[in-house]
Amino acid sequence: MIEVHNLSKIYPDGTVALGGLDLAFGSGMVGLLGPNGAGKTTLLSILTLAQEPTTGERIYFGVSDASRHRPRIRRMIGYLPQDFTPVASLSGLEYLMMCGELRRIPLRRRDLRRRALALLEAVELQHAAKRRADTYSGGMIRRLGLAQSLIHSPRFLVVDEPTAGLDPEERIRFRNLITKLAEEIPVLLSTHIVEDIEATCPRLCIIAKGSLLFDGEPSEIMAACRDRLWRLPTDQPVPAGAVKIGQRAGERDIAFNVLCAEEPVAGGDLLESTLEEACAAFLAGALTPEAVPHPLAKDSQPESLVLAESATDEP
Amino acid sequence: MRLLGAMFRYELALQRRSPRFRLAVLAYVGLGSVPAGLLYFILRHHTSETLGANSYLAQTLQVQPYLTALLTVMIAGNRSSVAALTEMWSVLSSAALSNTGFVVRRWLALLMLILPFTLLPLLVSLAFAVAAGHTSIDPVTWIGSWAIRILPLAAALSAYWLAFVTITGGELAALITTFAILPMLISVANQFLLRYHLTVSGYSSWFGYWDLFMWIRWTLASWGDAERHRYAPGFAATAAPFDLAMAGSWLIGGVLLCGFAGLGLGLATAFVRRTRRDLRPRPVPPNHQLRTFLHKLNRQREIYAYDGALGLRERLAILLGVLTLGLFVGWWLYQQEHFQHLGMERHRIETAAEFSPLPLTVSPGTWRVAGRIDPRGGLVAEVDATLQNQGSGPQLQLPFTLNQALEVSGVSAGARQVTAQRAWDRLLLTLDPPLAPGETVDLKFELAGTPSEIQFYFGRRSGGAPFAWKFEAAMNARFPRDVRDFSRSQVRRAISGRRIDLRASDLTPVPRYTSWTLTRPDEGGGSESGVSDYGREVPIEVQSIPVDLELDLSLPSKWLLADTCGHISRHEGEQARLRGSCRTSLTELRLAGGRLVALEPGDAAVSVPMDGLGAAGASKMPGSPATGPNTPGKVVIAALPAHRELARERLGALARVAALSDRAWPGLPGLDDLVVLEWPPAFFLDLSSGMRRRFGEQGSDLHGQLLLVHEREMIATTPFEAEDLVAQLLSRDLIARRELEPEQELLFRQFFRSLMVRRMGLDKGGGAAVSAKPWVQQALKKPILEATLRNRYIWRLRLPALLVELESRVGGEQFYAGIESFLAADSEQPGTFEELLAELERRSGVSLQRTYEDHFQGQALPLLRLEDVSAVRRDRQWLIEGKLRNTGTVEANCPLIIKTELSEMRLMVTVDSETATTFSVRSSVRPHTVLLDPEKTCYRFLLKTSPALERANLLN
Repeated sequence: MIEVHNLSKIYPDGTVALGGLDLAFGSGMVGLLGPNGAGKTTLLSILTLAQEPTTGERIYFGVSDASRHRPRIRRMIGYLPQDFTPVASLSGLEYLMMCGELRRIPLRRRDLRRRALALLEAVELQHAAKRRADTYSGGMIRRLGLAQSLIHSPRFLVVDEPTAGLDPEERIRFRNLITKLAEEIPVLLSTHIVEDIEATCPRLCIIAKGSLLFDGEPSEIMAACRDRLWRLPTDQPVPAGAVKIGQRAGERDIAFNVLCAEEPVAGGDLLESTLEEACAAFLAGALTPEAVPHPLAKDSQPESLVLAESATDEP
Repeated sequence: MRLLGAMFRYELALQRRSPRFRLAVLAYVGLGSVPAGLLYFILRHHTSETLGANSYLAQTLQVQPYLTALLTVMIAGNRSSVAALTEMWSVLSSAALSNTGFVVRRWLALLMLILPFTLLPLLVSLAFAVAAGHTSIDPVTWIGSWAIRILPLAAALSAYWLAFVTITGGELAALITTFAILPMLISVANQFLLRYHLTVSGYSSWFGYWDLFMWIRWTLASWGDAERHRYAPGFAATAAPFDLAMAGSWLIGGVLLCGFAGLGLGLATAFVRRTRRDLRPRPVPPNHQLRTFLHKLNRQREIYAYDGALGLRERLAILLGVLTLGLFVGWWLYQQEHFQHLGMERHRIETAAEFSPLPLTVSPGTWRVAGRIDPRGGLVAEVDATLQNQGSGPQLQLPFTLNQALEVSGVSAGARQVTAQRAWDRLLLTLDPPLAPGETVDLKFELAGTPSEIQFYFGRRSGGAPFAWKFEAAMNARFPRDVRDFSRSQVRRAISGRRIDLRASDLTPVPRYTSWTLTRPDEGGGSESGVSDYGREVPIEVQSIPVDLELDLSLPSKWLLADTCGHISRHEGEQARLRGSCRTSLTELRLAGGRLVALEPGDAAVSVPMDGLGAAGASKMPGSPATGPNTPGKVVIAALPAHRELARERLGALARVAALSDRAWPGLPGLDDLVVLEWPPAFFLDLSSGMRRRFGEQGSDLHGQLLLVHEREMIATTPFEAEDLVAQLLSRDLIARRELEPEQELLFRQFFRSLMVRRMGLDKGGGAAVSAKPWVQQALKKPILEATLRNRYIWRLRLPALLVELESRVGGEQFYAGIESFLAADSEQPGTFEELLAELERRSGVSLQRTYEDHFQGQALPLLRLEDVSAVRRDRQWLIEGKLRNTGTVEANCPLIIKTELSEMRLMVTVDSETATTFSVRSSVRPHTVLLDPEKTCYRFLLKTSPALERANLLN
């Protein structure tokens, strides 16, 4: 179990990136969702020991984050950073071998090579094992990154925005890979892409302005949206008490607004919500606390967030 | 180790794929091979020396340190490697590797990468040396040079650069730190250190840019005609054994670089930016006038913040870094303080002149020295000596000179109480009761130590100023640039694997007869008020009082040792031993040797066809049956092992010496009992600078029966300069004919040397006129009787010129007969120069009293020129008029030659100092030239810059 308690981080310029966050995960895949600047990357860098928190405590499978435990903790972490770049002048295999050796895996070179090749095969890069890494595509680089994060058999994996910028085929391939991994070790997946979470994560954490707003199953947040999403033509004004959370294309590609409201919207039709819309509604503050089964940090729920437009913004 | 191996493998993999690395290595090997290549392909054909394998090494070492520095910086700061590892850091941060482990292993990996490349220029150089036919390679010299000059530099600089690139985050910042911030800090530190008379030379002192500049200059200059550059250092290097201890003293120049490297490496473990520290917020108010600046400041603060959660290893590494800096600074400080302290001691004793010299009436009798020399340069000796008071008063104190590094562990004076007082190189014994007139005291000394000379570092520009002045200037400096970094001083051991160079005071206390008071050797001594202290130095001992000397010294078996009496060491079991006795002056006693090999008898016989030389040479060789070291008519030649063949060929010129000696003064013994040793320079790695020629320096030095042929002379391809050697030999033999006034012995020796050179017809042709640059005038004015051996202008220019004048005035035959007569005189009194002149006066009828007063006692130097010379025809005759002006310091009596169309007239003109004498001559034939002493029989100073003053043309 990886736990963080009362984790806060204030940057030297006064920006509060995290404000007293508590989180624990021990198995399966946990999706971490939040808008830009929500504190996801800060949380991940603190979790991977790349940054010290201002306050708080980190516990990794019962081991505290004291300096003397760091080497032991580092052995537990597998990390694929958002801006992962392999060493351009090395081949994929050389790179993996290098990571393995520098991480002091107690294997002979021959065995390490075998392991690296197995990992390359697992991430479907066996055909490019001896190609220089600077000839890899974006998807291949991410997969190589995943392989390097696994070379030392970590006890948990932290993956930051792994599918950003990938084509759908690569995204699906990558999602499949980490889904398979999550069966063996806990995986913390930070992403903007709700679809990835929907497809892979049985557990969702929503973070905004440095606070954890929701921690539960995706279905719970979708259930909270049931009977609250309305379809309204775009030429009609957003009524009072409703929050516009997006747009959809309808029949004959005619767009309509998606509104969230407790009460029926005049002229609107009820909609089946997607996870993305449910999250947007949640982040936009359109869902009352009572509607969400396990809401966290209710007091800090934002009034207005990037993902949604409040009705009050309407002229 | 496994991880280090991995780091090395990937460092190599990353570097070898980077163009910068390839370029750096290519340039390093290419440029590093240039000096040896130049020597092999071009310069060796232009040099007037026989080169050896070490010459190639020396040439390579002229540039390799600079190139190594460049290569190290290029590799350690290689963006391909640094960036790759920095990028990897995001993933490596999850490696179970401490910051310290990463930084230290990266440094070691870099070092493992760089060091093999540093061997390449040397290997290329070695290949050139072998290709040139030099197969005698001394691996100790090659490996030792690399280990001292290249290895520490690469290790320190790679650590330094890696550390500062890591700390500052890039090469530009590291460059700014190295060349702007740290020098500024050093400059500030030097301002502070000024009050303690300390200075930090800066971390560039390891390189010696001046040497590189000089090497380039001489290399370019020597490209053409080597003869034009006879003062050039040349390209040869010494073949003498490498002295690691001495070479190691060079490392002191790198203390600052090593200290910063150690500190940097320690600090770098906290700046790998693996775990960003949590910094206290410093929010910038949105309306603050300096908000942009403050934001940037905040950013810099974040960038340069040390890492968070530093482990024990990192803390230890930082501590170790600080300790390393402290250690190097401590070493530097210790060296500074140590040499400063020694300097102060020497300065104090030199300026205080505490001890009075011994009167000449207290004369030495027997002097027995028994001792043991160890391979590390140490000496343990027992000295038994006797001194007799022949004066009229009791002698309470006995002053001696003794090498400052020798300790007197015991001293006794027979039944007398004796107390010893030591100050620098002076030893004062106080006897109780004092030595009464007519009494003799038996002294016994027990000595131990490592005889050595301390070469205080005064910087390159301090020139030949005496110690006291330079030291005072350094200690009273008002600006940091004038303070001297004494830590760079050197202890030059008299006994080392390189050579043995022992004076009497390095073996035994030597009675001191000459005052220790500082004098100005070039100005005539004294301590006139208002005269600058510049130039004052402790005079050397001028008294040469003979003693009955017995020597018994044991030394390592591989070494050879000889002395001025002609003794040479022989093998005795596990050791070599020098034993013998002779009558000689302690002032002149010198022992020399080293790892030399004696030529086989046959070799010597081939080269020196003198009676009995071949077979008899064996009697003095180490390991040969002892037949007594002083068997007459023998010559022993010993040379460095690498120059054995060369010595065999080169010293064949000694045969010519024998012939010349017969011509110069028949009947003198010449080369009998001579020990000829090849004499390497004392310098350790600066292989070529010791070979530099200077004015007045000889290719060989004769000390009694010991002839030291400089290595430079041995390897020269020009003919062996035997003339001066002959002159010295014959001078020595002439002196031996009669007991001479000890104070004037140097004068006689130099006078006879000049005489012999002239007799052989080998003088420079300047006659009695001294031709020199204007600034030499002052040095020439010194009274000859007060000149010391160092006054080379006196002995090489003035005395030969005066000799010509004397000979001219007295007449050739009378002159030589007078000298013979003087030397053969059966007198109980020691001969003096005044007596010699009186003899010449008696024979020739020419008064020489004024000559003695003006030139030997006074500061005479006539400087003549013709003025207003004209020829007017009057009453069918030509009237030639003019003036001879003397701007010099003494009356001159010089001939004028008036050349006419048919004949020439001679006119003697006497002109006093600072005056002009008018002359007029009538001639019936038209005159065309007036010449001032064209045969140069009149002693005067001839300005090289204005030859027209010697000649007046009357035809215009």
